[in-house]
Amino acid sequence: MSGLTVDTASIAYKRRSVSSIMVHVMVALLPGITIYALYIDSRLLFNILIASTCALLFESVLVLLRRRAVLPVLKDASIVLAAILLVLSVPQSLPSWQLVFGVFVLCTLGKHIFGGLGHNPFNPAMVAYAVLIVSFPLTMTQWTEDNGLLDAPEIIKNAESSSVNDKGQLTEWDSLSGATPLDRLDTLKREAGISSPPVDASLTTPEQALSAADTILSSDWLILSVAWLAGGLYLLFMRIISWRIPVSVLATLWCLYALYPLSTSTPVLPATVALFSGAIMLGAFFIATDPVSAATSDKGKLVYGFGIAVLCFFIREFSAYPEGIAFAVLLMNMCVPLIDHAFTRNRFSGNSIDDQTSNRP
Amino acid sequence: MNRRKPVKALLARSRRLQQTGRSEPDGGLPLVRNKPGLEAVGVPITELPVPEQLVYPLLDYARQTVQAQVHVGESVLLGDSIAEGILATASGTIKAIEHRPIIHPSHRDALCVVLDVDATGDENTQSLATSDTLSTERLAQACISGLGGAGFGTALKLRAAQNKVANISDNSSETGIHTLLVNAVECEPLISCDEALIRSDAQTVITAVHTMIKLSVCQRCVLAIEDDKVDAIAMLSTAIDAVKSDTGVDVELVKLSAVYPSGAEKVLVQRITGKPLPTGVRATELGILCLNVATVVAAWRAQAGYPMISRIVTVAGSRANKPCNIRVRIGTSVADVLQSTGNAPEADDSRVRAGGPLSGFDLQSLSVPVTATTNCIAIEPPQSKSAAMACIRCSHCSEVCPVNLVPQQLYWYASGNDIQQAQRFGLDNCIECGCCDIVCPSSIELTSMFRYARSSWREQQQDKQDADIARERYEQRQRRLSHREQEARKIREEKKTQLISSKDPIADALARARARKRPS
Repeated sequence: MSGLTVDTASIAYKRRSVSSIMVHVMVALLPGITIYALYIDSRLLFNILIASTCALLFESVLVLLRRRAVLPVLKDASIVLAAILLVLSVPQSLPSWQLVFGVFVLCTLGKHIFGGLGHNPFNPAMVAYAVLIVSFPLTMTQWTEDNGLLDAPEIIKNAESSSVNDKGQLTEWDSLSGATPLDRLDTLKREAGISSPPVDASLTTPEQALSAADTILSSDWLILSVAWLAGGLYLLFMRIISWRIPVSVLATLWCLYALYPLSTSTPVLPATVALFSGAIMLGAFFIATDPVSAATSDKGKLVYGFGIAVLCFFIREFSAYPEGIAFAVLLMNMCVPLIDHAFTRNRFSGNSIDDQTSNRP
Repeated sequence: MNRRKPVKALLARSRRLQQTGRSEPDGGLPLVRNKPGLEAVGVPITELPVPEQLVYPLLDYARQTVQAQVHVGESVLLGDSIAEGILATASGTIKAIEHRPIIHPSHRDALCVVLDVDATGDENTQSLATSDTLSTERLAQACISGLGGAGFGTALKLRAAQNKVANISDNSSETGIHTLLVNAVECEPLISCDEALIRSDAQTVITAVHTMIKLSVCQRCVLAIEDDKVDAIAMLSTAIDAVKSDTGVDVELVKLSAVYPSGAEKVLVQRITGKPLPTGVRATELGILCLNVATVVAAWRAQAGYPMISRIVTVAGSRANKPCNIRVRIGTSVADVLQSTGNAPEADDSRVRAGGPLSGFDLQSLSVPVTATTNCIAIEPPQSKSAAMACIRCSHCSEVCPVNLVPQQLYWYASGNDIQQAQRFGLDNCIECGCCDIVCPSSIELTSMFRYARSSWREQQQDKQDADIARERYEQRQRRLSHREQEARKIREEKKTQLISSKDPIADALARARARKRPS
């Protein structure tokens, strides 16, 4: 025992720590956040500040309650990242107290109830988002409050009832409210579904789809999507995330949007434009790739991404919610243990377990 | 072309940025070459002076105890057998047969033969007759065992390969050994004993390989080496051209890209043949005889009558003052090796590792003896303790795993002591290379957990087997007893029925009483 230190670890090599992974993801979010704050809504920065502070606070308290060391847990920065992702997925007009409530849900229901980082089966930010959207449907779908001319209930009422068929009204909304293109598309679609009879669908659909594409292409949200894409490419380049989940999500969505017009008369976005609409880029690169709650095997990742894309497509196109990423991710999170079980095969085992033992001399 | 260059540069940069996270198609890690113990080309390897005492653990390759063939006080000569597969590596008197610490990841003791040396002899002490051809019997006599990883007896391996297990060769028409795979890959940082051997005398290596080809009667011979061992490759290719052989089989020099752990048998067979080894199947069962280059040279020396009494050990590490490769008599203690090479750890807190920085493990005592499988002794500073954090399932570990396991999943089961489930996910395939350990962002010590899980699985199996045997013994005894009881009862019953069946029981009883009385 003469002066030896015994360690079970191998010799230290330069490695990437959990916190550096989280910081890399935050760096990848920077271009998007900048564009969001500059062109769309500067309240984002204020909300991020509030959310991260509250997240750190809640997490410290929870870790203390669980009688663990606080600093190492805070240092991994994962809670801040989750809080930022939550802020990015809610409307910036959300009252602060609701946002704080969301962060609280994120820390408790999303993360610590399962045992903290690494043990949560669901993406914490999406859990919080889901709780917020069912608790505060009004403020969670009200993407602007620039002026008092239009208030949220009215938008929703209009959208829900599809009573307003007038195109002029629609453009008026555009100029007044600046709702997200997806919300508008949702309305446009419903309206088209009612107003255009199936007979002349072939005539109207491309036209309407084109105008819908224009709405997407001309908005700042497109630039934002490009920024998320850039961030995602950075993550791929740094090898923080694997290409499998985002590629599988995007490819599947592209195919679905490309095939959808064949079976419907409602206006559909051109496939490529659809990928840049809404939260798809953010979801594909930053939310679906959360390693803790995603599938881990190579084939499993592809299946997981495929599932998210399909669910997201159906929620977007056939449900009352304009965007489907959050619920798609949560639903697929549930399937992860099954997916991993089914797709974790090891290359070296040709035979089943029983054969293996009997084979040995 | 010009346009593609920046893309390539960018990709290369991406790899460098993430040195430890690059995923090779077959897993593994491209580690930076770090072989500090190498001498200049052509310099012979120095021998370590033989210490006063040598220690031989009475264990075979599977860590099963073997019976000592000597007794305390007996004097032995160099080359005498101490136990099956163990030779005296110097002449002297047996001082004791007692428990001593051995090189073991759990710092275990084992029964050891302790030899007080009085005549050291040297490397060229001939204890066996020179023979014209190498034979399997000779390999067994000279106690040639694998100098690479597991230390499997070479004669055993050869025999196993020659009488290949029937169920595998059923599908293929060939029998016996078709490929001789000489492993000179040595992919782990610090370890350079095989490279040192080649650099000291490449001609001998190739001559030895030809001898082995003759013995194994193979159709193909592959000498695998990492492509960053430039000098060794140059020397080997010159030697291949220079050494003539009558076997008609050429030595193919295969250069593998430097990815750790290509030298592990499982991975090497996969990289050479393109086909993975199925679980629980050894390379020999597929007709591939995989031998370490140093083992081949030792076997060749056995033909000339020299038993295997020493091996080359690399002493290196960031706390080693004089990194070197040195020929060490088997049985020498690690402390002696470090002392004589001037590498005794000065600081009080050094870690001394048996084996390389990745696949090795720390020693708790320096008095443990060097065995045939001790390829490296590494002296390292203590690690800044970063407490292991929770697994975030980033799957870097499965990207680098050379045998395509999902270490994080295994860890989940192993740490929950659900070893059955861990087995289902291929725990038995783990080669304990340590790749997952060094990429884990949460600094989880995966390899030591797997090592623990595997040994506890083995123990469980052993316990179960023992319990089964005990139960069977007990059941048989119960059966025997009840059988005996039944027999006795049957006799009693028979007697009884005889008595009852007589016509006049009272008269009979009186007659019996009278018969009893008469003798007195």
